[in-house]
Amino acid sequence: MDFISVLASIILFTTIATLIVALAAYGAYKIRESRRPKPGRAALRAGGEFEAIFLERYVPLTRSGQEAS
Amino acid sequence: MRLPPIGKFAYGLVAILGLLALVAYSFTQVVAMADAVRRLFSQDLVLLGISLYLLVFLCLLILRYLGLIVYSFMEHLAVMQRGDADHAGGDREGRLPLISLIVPAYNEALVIQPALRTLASLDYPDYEVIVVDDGSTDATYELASQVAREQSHVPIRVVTKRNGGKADALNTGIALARGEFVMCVDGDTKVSRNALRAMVAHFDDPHIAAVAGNVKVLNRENMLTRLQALEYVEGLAMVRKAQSFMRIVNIIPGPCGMFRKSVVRQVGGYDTDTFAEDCDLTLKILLQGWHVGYEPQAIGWVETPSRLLDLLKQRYRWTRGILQAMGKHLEVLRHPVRSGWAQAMTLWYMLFEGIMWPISNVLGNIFFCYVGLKYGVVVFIAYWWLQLLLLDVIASAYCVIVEREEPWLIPYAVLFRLYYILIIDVAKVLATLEQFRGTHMTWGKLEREGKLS
Repeated sequence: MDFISVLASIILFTTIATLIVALAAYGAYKIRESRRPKPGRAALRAGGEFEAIFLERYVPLTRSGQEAS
Repeated sequence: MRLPPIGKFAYGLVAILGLLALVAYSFTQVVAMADAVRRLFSQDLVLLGISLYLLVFLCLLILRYLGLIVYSFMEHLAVMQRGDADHAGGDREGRLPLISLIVPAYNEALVIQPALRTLASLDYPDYEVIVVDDGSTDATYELASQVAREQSHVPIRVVTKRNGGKADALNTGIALARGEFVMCVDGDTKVSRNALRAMVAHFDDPHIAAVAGNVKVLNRENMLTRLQALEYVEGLAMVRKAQSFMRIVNIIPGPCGMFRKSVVRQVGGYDTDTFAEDCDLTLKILLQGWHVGYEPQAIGWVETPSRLLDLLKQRYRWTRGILQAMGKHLEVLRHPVRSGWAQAMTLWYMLFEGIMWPISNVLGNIFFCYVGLKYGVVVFIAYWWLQLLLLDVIASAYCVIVEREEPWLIPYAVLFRLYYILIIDVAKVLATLEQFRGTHMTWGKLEREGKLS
């Protein structure tokens, strides 16, 4: 085998291993997040709906150049 | 170890010439690959189509690196010229405006005190610090108040409010700010002493509404954080510098960014409907026609995740947040003439970086692995990988040179390409799919490790 073939084989198996690690890590992350206690929104609800303190919400322009409702 | 200064343009010029030679070589390789692919898959149109798509993507990537390096180098020269002019222009001391630093803090007890002490010792004559405690459940408020009481030369105000998220905390801080210029700083960020002077100078141009700082990794303690250090230099700083040449920086980073308060009010401040409020605000400013620049000397040192799952958590939020922010402005893509070509180009570029790049990288790796295993042709994956590695090494070397960064970051480009970026891109692709499916998500605050202190 020449140098390029050896290098290519190493890269091939490393890439396959990395893809497996990437999928496993993502799965582990999702499992960890699902088992974590959810952040309580009770405090938010207790005082009513959350409203921005001083600024008006940004409304993107529609095709006609008017603000979307 | 840092590179010695051997002349203002010498390193950058050598890098540019080397880059042009290597880009020409890259294109010859792509042409050779295209020919080999055509011969191998002439009977299978699907495989031929995928391989040709990947070669087109590779060409786009080469052009992307070329464009970013050339534009960032031109911006680099412009910054040096500006620096000379400022130096020759004499004293600005008497006309430096008041700047308000906004520090949103939620459960930052571990880092808030060293962060505030750093902010209280910046080299600027007239500034205030406003800490907005966003309903922390730890001692953030008390610890911040303690530092506020210690300080006499820099006014530090600490306010506490019901928990409403980072965007709401920033809006509260902006409402309380006395200065026309507000700098938003994360509670775990260590800002360089000259940051305020360097950033505020950009606002001499009345079209500039915001300036991004240069975010760097503080905790370069293991392989993962060192790879992130390289990514911040190559993937973030270089892009922002190139965009700054055209004044279309698309993300003012949360840890270090300065704004005109009147413009922030004009666009409605930070919205609470995305998980990337910094990207969202920057896009709103850009789409109103304002210019957004970048200041490489204003450095914000941040603590990055040192564990893989924490890193994925951060990138998951970034990916979905940026997609949410882009989704609010898709109208611009459909009407580039009315919205402005610069604005449309910004969003097209974000789509390329945010969606096309990770999908193509993952697709390319899976495809060439499949071809290698099924047909026994492993040479394609070697060419694909070496081509991408070449681009990474060139860009890393260039960035290390112009940023005067640590040279040992350059060899990390091999690990960056071999492991790091593939793991990150897989996470980005899966997060993108979840975003399109509308999967529920929460902010997902990272646990601090207290490296700032």
